[in-house]
Amino acid sequence: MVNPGACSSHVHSVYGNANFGATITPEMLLDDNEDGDWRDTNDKYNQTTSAFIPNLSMYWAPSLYILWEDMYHLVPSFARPYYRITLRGDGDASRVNPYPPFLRMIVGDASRKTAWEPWETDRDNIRWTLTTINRVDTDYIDHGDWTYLIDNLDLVGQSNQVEMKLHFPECLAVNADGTPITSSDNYRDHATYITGWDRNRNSYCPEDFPYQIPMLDLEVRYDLDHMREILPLDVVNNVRNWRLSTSDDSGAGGHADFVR
Amino acid sequence: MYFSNNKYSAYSGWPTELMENMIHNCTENTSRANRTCHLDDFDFDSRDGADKTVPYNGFIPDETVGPAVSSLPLKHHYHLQLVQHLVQLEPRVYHLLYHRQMDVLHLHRHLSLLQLNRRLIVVILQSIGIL
Repeated sequence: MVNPGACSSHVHSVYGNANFGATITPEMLLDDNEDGDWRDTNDKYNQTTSAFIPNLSMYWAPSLYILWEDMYHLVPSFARPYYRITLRGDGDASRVNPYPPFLRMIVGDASRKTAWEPWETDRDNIRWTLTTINRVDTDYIDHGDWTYLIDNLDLVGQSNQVEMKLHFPECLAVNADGTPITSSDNYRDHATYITGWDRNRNSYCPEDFPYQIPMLDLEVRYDLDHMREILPLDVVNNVRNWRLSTSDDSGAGGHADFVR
Repeated sequence: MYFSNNKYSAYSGWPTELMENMIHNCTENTSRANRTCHLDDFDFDSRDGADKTVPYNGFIPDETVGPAVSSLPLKHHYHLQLVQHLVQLEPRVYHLLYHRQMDVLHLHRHLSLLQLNRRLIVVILQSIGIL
């Protein structure tokens, strides 16, 4: 999305809709079935890698490599997108809207190559976890890069995967006629995170971004166990050998793109 | 850009009807009390094993791909490095830069004719002080 028609500066792992290219167009997202019935999954298994066939969205994130003996070894990965809805206690979902067609969003900073400093708290909600080992104990402020993993290499050695968990914004800006804005020059300015419940406006979203949508909670899982079969254990388990495809060795440059 | 065209609004990416149903009728991938969640009709594990592979034999776009560029915010010295790199890659860019007395729109159009990425054009114009 950032550089349409050109090669990206870094390698991505792509999940979901298989119609991928140097330029992303709305036509790529269309259902291949001529009748357009989303319930009809026949002949649609090759249109997406998704286990849930009707989801024809696209997701992509930087690939992860392990550096060993001057070679970069690609870590296989998969992604799990969860859609979560922030509701009041009464469960009233009437304020929440489906994603507008061709919604595009990016979270994270691909240019970042150094660990976060404690005062750098104004950033996207992205954290690194060891899945079930510590997911519930992590947050994006204290676990937004690999520093804590380097300090806990014994835990890394126990984990089958390392997970980049990205929360996408759930509030969109709108046009004068109230329709949601689906993109912006940097693919970020049209969306924002929820703030708190505003009882006067009956909304979780801030006034400038009033259109609430489900939150995309994207888990990108990198398969460490597979790498342990082909590389020495101490090499795989040593986080200092990990590199995102952006050449980031801190993990702070984690990011992802999404197109509905 | 919002597509009011029915073709896009009905079918693209996540089906709108499905997502509306999920918002109002589903919880934890199944039906809320007294509701009908469409997710109940689908098997989430339908791609176990080899079926998870999508063969790379589908439609391949016949697209012109430009030179690799950084998607990162570029600092000034990177601008200069990029221009130098472009001049090496593309002699016509050097020709345009040499005749930099041309107005912005003229130069922009010439760069566009080279099928360069729009961001690259902006970077070039910025680096030579025109933007």
